[in-house]
Amino acid sequence: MSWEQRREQRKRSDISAKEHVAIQRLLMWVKNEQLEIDIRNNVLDALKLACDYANIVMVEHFDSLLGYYALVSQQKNPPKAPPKILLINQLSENKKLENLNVYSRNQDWQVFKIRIKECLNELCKTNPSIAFDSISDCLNHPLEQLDNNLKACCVSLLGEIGKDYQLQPHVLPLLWKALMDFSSNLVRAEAIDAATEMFYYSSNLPPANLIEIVIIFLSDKFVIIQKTALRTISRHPNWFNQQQSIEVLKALAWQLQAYKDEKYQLDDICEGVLAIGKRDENLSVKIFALSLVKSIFPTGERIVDANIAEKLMRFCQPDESVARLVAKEIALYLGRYDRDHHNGYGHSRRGSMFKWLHKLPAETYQAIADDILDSAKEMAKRDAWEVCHFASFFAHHQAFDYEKLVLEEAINGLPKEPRYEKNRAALQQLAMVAAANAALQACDTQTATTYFAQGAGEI
Amino acid sequence: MLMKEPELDLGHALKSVAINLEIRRLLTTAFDGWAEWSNEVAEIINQMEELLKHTPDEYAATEWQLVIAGLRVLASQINCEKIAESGKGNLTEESTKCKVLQTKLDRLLSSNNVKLLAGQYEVNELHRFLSSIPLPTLYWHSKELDFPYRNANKELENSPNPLLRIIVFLGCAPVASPQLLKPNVLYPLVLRIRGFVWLKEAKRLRLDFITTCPKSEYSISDFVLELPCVENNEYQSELTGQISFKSGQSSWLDDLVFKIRAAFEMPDDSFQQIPVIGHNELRLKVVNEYPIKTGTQPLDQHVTELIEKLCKEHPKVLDELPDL
Repeated sequence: MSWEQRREQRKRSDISAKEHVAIQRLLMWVKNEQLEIDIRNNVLDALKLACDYANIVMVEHFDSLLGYYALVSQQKNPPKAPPKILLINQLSENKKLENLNVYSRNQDWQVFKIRIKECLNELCKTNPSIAFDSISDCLNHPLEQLDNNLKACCVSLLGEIGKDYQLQPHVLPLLWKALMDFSSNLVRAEAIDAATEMFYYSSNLPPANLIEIVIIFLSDKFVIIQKTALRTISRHPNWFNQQQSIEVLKALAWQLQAYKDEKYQLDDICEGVLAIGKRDENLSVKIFALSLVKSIFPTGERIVDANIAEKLMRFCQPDESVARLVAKEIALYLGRYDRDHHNGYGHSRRGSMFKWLHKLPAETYQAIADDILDSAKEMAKRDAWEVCHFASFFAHHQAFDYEKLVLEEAINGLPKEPRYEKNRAALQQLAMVAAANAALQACDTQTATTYFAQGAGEI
Repeated sequence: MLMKEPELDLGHALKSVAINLEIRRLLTTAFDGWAEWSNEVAEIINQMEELLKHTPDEYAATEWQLVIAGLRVLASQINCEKIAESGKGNLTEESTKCKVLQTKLDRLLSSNNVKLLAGQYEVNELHRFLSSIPLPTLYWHSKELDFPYRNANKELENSPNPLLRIIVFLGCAPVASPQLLKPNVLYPLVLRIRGFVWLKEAKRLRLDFITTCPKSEYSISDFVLELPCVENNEYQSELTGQISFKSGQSSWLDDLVFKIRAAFEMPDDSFQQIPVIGHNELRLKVVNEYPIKTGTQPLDQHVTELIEKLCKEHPKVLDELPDL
């Protein structure tokens, strides 16, 4: 079946009798507790396809599926496994294996719930107005009477329904109610995610109070809320005006201090900080964002530092005024850590960073030349090949003295073993030519001639 | 259009260093042999242009372009002087060329905020000016990206290559490996061949056997296939001949190997060899007496393999074989 035909299938108004029967069977099997959970998970996979290609029929079962989700969402543990056939002389199962089986069943049970939610989400996508009626009926009950998991599910479905522009005025009050539901952190977190989802492809900004609440949630005392708000900020930095951006950055500054010793948390926070700084056109906001990142960078954790350095590189173009601050941090990272010796260098982050540095304009280079030289010297002690990127950078900016210094440092750093002699000779020749170029730059032709002669092996 | 990607390449850097050193040598050499100097300048300019062609634009320093333009002006200046002194050649043409080259050099210099005075175009001044320009080492190389699917298309566009599949029959049965033979017996040898692509110009296909066995010890027929019926680039045929050996082998352990070689005979009597698959090699054992003769070929073969294994593991058994 071609993709065009598949697309047409989604729009059809009726389905065949066989498909009707199949859908009935699938719905029956999903709810059949006699079946193993993994089988029911596979049934849900098929049902999701039905939601996609036979939504006209499946939407009639939306309430039934939502009702079933309400039932299973309260069930923390999976249904009991079907009884086994006992055999004579059968050894009892290993205790560890039994525990693993229990763990696996629990995991399957969570997947089962997620898949029901996916089916519901699919139906919300294709029939938002019908789905909205059911969801609003459900959420219009006093929230205290509803299970938190069911509430969270309904709220997350509102995100998909809210993508429909016509329904947004109806969805927003419910979303707002969920955002203010302080009885459940899960519901509040889902409400923030739903709001993000709702305006993901929208060219309009969300209501101002919704943006305000995201900023407030950034300083919430619960981690789940903080994290969700941070995720929203990273995905939608354009929602915030300059004043709000500064408020966000202040809140994130507090988070950076709080998570100072949890390096992997810093990665996400820096992403939010840099996203805000990148979007805002005001230079002071950009500098504020960079100073926040600088306060924790380098963290000392290799992977985290690599991620942050890459984000810094994407933060601005080399010809922007803040590139001076970014370039220092990038050079610091490059000098501090080794490259990955097991994978190709061509498309590596470090390769991209050197390409970025190469594009720095001359005036920016002048301002940071000494900082970059320090990083280059540090790298030269460990990696004679990679430091040639720095040598090239200095040659590009006509800083032949620095090029020579870096190359000499690399030569000294090479182990005194016969297998390195060829590389040593090559680096020595490059260093001689750099020295000669430096002498020419200083109008000292005599010294330059001597260095060129040394480079050519004549002396 | 070829896609290129910049990468740091020490080989490229050393090449630029070598050219830089060559330029310095050239600029410090006195113009004694004008013709030789002129050739060297032309060659170095070619090398520089080639180097810049393989250097990404954003990493190519303008000084290199400047030196190329300067060297051209210098060579032209010297040529003008030479023509003026000797009276041979077209001075007007050369001086016009020199002026055009000077304009280009001026343009490059002005883009670098440098301007030469009229007197600085004089040979010695220009020479001194070029010697004072530092040439940054070019570390970055423009690597052509290799996309396997593009090569796949190229391969398809090429015409298919000839190939020959051979199955060798000794009598009616396909040859086993190794095949047991007796000396002083003439065995019928049949080559059943199936070929792919017959070269248009080829007169015939010749097959011969390459071996280390002395020629005096065996005789084998010539196998030649005249132009067969080719359909859909494929042809098949059967060539018959004989093989015989004069004496048996002394050791059981070594096989006589006959490698089959196939080649098209071209109209100019040259040969174009083609690859052979299938029975492309015959392994034969020529023995006076079979150790155990059952009369069933597969069983004899199996017994031979067992005896070979035994002889390899316990070489002393070889002496006992005749009694066995």
